[in-house]
Amino acid sequence: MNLIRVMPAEGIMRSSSGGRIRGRPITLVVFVLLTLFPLAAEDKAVIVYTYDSFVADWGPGPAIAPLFEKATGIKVQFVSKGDGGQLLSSLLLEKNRPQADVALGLDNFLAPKALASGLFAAYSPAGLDAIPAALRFDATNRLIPFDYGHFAIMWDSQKLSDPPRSLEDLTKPEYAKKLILMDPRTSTPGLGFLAWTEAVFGPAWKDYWARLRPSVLAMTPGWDAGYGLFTNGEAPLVLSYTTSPAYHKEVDKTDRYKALEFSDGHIAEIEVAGILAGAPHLSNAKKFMDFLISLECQNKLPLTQWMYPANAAVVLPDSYSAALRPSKTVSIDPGRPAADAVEAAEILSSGK
Amino acid sequence: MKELAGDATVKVASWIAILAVAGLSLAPLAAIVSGTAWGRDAGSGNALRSSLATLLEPRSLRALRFTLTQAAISTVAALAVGLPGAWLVARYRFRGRRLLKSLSAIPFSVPPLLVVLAFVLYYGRGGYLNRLLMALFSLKQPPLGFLYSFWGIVLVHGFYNFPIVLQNVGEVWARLPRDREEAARLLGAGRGRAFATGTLPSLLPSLAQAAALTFLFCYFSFAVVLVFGGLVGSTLEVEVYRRARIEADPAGASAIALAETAMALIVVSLIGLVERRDATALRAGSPQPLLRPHGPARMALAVYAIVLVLFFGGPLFALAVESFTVRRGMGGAGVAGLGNFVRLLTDAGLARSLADTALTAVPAASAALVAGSLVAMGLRGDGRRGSILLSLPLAVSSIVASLGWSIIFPKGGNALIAPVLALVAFPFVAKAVVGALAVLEVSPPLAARVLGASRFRAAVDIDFRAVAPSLLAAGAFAFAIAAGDLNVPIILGRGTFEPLPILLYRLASAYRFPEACAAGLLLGLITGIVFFIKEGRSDA
Repeated sequence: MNLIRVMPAEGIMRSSSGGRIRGRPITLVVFVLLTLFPLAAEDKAVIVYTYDSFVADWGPGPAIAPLFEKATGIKVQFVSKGDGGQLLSSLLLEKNRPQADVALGLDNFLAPKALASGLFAAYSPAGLDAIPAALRFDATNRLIPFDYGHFAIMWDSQKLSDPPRSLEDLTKPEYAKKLILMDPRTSTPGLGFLAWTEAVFGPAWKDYWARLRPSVLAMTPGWDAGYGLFTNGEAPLVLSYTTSPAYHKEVDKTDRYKALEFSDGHIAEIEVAGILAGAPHLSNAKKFMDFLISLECQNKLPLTQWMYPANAAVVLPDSYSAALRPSKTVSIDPGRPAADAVEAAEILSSGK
Repeated sequence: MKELAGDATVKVASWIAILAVAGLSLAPLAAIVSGTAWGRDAGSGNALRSSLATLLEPRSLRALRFTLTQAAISTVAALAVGLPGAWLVARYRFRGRRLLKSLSAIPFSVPPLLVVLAFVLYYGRGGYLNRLLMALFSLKQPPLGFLYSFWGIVLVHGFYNFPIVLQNVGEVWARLPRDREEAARLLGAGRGRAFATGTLPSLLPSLAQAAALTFLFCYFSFAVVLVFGGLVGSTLEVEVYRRARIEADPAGASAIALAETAMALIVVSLIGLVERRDATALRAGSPQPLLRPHGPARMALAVYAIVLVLFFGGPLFALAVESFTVRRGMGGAGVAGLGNFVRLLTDAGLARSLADTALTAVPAASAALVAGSLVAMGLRGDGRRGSILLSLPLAVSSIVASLGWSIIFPKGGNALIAPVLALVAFPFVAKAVVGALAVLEVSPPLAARVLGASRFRAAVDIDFRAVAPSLLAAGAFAFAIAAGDLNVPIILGRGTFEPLPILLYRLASAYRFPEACAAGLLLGLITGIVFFIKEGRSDA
């Protein structure tokens, strides 16, 4: 496949070295035509749109793709579209002519918008019963949960001695410019944090965000950038998940980074995948969905995705003892946060 | 000169090219206007009122204020750093002079995202500079925290654009006859007065042009603000992108795009107007002999070198170090090695990305070069109209052009990328060719025609051979612009298409710093080498 795409490039190199301007427009036309048909449809492929950390080399993508290919002979191509919010925007833009078969990485807070837009086709993957009913929020089975977790603020215990104990604590002057958040318009954790504050403060969430503003060092477009700044030492507090400490225990062999339990309680995120209506490789997409919730694939998630697998049969590795098990949880009407995302980002950037 | 312009074939061909370029530059605007006025996407009857309402939203006004303020202050910063350099380059011979001049490659070939990465590595709270300061003065907290503020954006923009000032002003300054300033000094004027009366008036056009160009680039700043500006504010360009691609509000995006372009047109006309005077000044003299720096000049050179190395070399150095640092997991300890480049090849799809870059940048550069050459031939000896025509496409930002074309061809997707990139690169190419043609004082085609060559062959063969090196340089320029542009593919790109800047953006926003730096280094090498060759050529 790569060859087909590279060879025309050699063609123009040769013809342009002739030095004649006149020869070029024809090659140009050929080129434009070639770019119109970049990929011949391959029967043995499935294209999955997802977000950055899923395809990162320490993420689940590289771990599960060979397993799937071995089991089915189908090659899976992951395409990253930034974070979850950007993923949904891309899907909406391509709605009339979907280029992907599966979208993986939307969550319970983006789901209402995604379902209302008619992007997804219903499919009940084999082995769906292994996923607890509490996680399966979409009764139509267009969006299937593959993992879940709770949002939490991560704390770098070497950079900060006295961590906050509640959302309200985060607004204290001692934490000025010490917190990294994600943009609720473009990322699922950003939206999840908005949901969290809406669940805790109700209509007063706007006042809270205005009070929180001085504490925020940066609002990044996605989780990866924000968490990267955190591990790079740019700030000692970052929005992440209760399971993040397991990653540092397993990979970095350190308990320097801790998830903070907040007295307000924590809110859950359920990550979902679904087959796009009009998927070019529908039968392959179905096989991928079957595989995604199978024990073989789900076993890989704890140590690559660092979230709890949706399949209840998975036995968690020892490092998950470092994960925070929140004693109190909160919830909210999942459609609300997405409607308030633009306003929330505006409050953070303008103070109004 | 007029004899050539009278050559019918060349004239027809070039006017077709001129009309095509003008049409293609304006088409996206027309599409946006019709999209707004008839509410094609808004679905409401009274779309004009709704777009006015969009513009008057506090959020839009805030973006406007932010855009203008940061652009103005960034321009001042670029002037402050660039002017001393222009003076040094124009007057003195010193080691690194050519390197300094070739820094003008930066704004065109170093993707802004890479600069963002470099600045985080160097100026960040955990960056080199803060760690150095903390060690030196045994501080417990990093002293420099401005990177995430308004001033961080100004710093990045200043870094990005000062080479434009240095290059534009330096080139004219080097050709200014020194006798006027010397005469003023002989007549008893002080150094400052002599400069103000003897030199400054001749520099003003190039100064105004560099300032206007810098202002325009900062006005259109996208990636830097997108990544850094989350809290600080957003430019109109970022607002257009957010509304079009994140918030699914094409009507709002169109309204802002139109207002943005209208204001840019004012700046662009200014560039076009002063350019003619500038060209006259440039042609007025040949380069003056360079002096060996001594005394205060030597001192100034040393200070300037230290400032540049410390504030601007540092981030680039940090970037290079990071690209050769292999890390395990996120933020793990690093060891030196080539692992990032290997991982780019094996995991991140570097080969495919290079192919995608070639697929867009080569045709885009070729098209821009052909169109640019034809237009430049048609505009010979037609200074004022020419410079305004050539500057016009500058007012249509790449985001706006992409938005417009995606309205015209909703299903165009990746096939639109190369043509739009060609339009983005066009004004720069055309100007380079116009400059090259202006040097052709005599008219060899006339002689060729006397010898019996057909008119067209005469124009193409002789002219072409005489300006071939400059054409090659202009083509390289176009390639660098097209290969380094993020904005067009980020708006138009669909599916799995991933040219190098998109790969870089993805790695950078995934904070895969080492690999992003490695990818950036490769992109910078591809586009930068091309530039260095070009600068070396024009220097000779």
